[in-house]
Amino acid sequence: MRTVLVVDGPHEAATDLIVQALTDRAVPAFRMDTAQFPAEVELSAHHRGGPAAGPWEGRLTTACRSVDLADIGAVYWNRPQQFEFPGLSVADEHWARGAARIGLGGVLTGLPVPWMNHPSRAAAAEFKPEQLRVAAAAGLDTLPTLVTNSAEEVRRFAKEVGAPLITKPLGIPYIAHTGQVETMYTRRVDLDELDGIETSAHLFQEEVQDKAYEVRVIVIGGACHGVRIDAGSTAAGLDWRTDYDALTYSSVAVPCSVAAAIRTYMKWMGLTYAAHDFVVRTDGRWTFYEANPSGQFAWLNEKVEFPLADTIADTLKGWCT
Amino acid sequence: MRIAAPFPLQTPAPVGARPGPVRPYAVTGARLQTADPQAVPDPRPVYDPRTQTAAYADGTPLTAMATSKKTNPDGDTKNPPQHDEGADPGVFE
Repeated sequence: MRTVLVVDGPHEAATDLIVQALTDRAVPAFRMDTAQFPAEVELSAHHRGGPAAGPWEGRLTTACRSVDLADIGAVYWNRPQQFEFPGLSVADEHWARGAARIGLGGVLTGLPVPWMNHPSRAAAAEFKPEQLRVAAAAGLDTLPTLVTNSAEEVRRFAKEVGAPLITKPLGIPYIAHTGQVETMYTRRVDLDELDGIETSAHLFQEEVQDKAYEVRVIVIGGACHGVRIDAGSTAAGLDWRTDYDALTYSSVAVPCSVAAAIRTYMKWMGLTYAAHDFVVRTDGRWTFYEANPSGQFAWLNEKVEFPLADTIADTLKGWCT
Repeated sequence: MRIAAPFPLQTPAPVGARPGPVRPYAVTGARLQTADPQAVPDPRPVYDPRTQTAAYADGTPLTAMATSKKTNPDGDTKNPPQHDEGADPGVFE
């Protein structure tokens, strides 16, 4: 059995679940964080050169374990942290970061094995406008959406849509200042209060008026696992992230046409894992909201019939066998 | 200019001193949480390199928290902020 290389921060509970599941299956795992390099992770890699040169050879080593690059059969990559270079000046650190990114990053991202997900694919798949474009091209139903830094364009878009608008934050959904943290959620748009749009790009979308419930589809290696999310409060009805206590969960079958379009989306995006969010209309239509290439699943792990961490571990094991 | 920096995926969000007079529209209506600067920070989970998982000082595994409730950005210490969904996909270079 080859080894699963797990690359993530040290306090990611979902990744702990996967590591435990791999251990339960006797699948060797080597977990590291890019923030451990260079202080706690040693890299030695060489390329033989010549016409018969194969993949990079060498080892990754921490205080507790070591793995031969040739023994890595799959990579689980979530959200590792930035490299750390204590003791270096800002200028030296900038250089060292680039060297680490290209050196360690080049060796790892060149591993010729299945990835969940390859970081370059995951990074590209984070862009919401691209998600909507690819989703529509793949055959998924999508909503009229505007990205702009112009208040006037928002008012024009509202007239064009002829329905209430909602706005969702692009990028990190929270801002921290000393002593306070602000968390942004989906909210309704007041066309008379649009100050601050000019500060950056903002996303506006038609508000679904006939929402029945929402679904998070966890896609693992081509299999679609649907979790129905019913909102029991007004706030959760607009954005279920605002009121977790008001949510109920159940497994739901993903329609074949939706599953087929999701697989096309995953193929085009080059992803093997993603959390797709849908709204299901009262007429049964599934409309795509977004797809997070590192979307959360841990809080759903014991709420549905299929243990998601086990499914991820089984997929990784299959790749290593 | 590289729009997507593939490795690693993101940098931590910085903490500013205070908001300026002009603020992004997206912040309007955001859920505000204040933090007491005198408060003693709760302990973070400790990563065990042998098991390759983390646990709190009282032995509670981090996974117990993950499955008890969704970890969201304004969660408490036992449901710590997550930085993944909708996060900045990379730095500009």
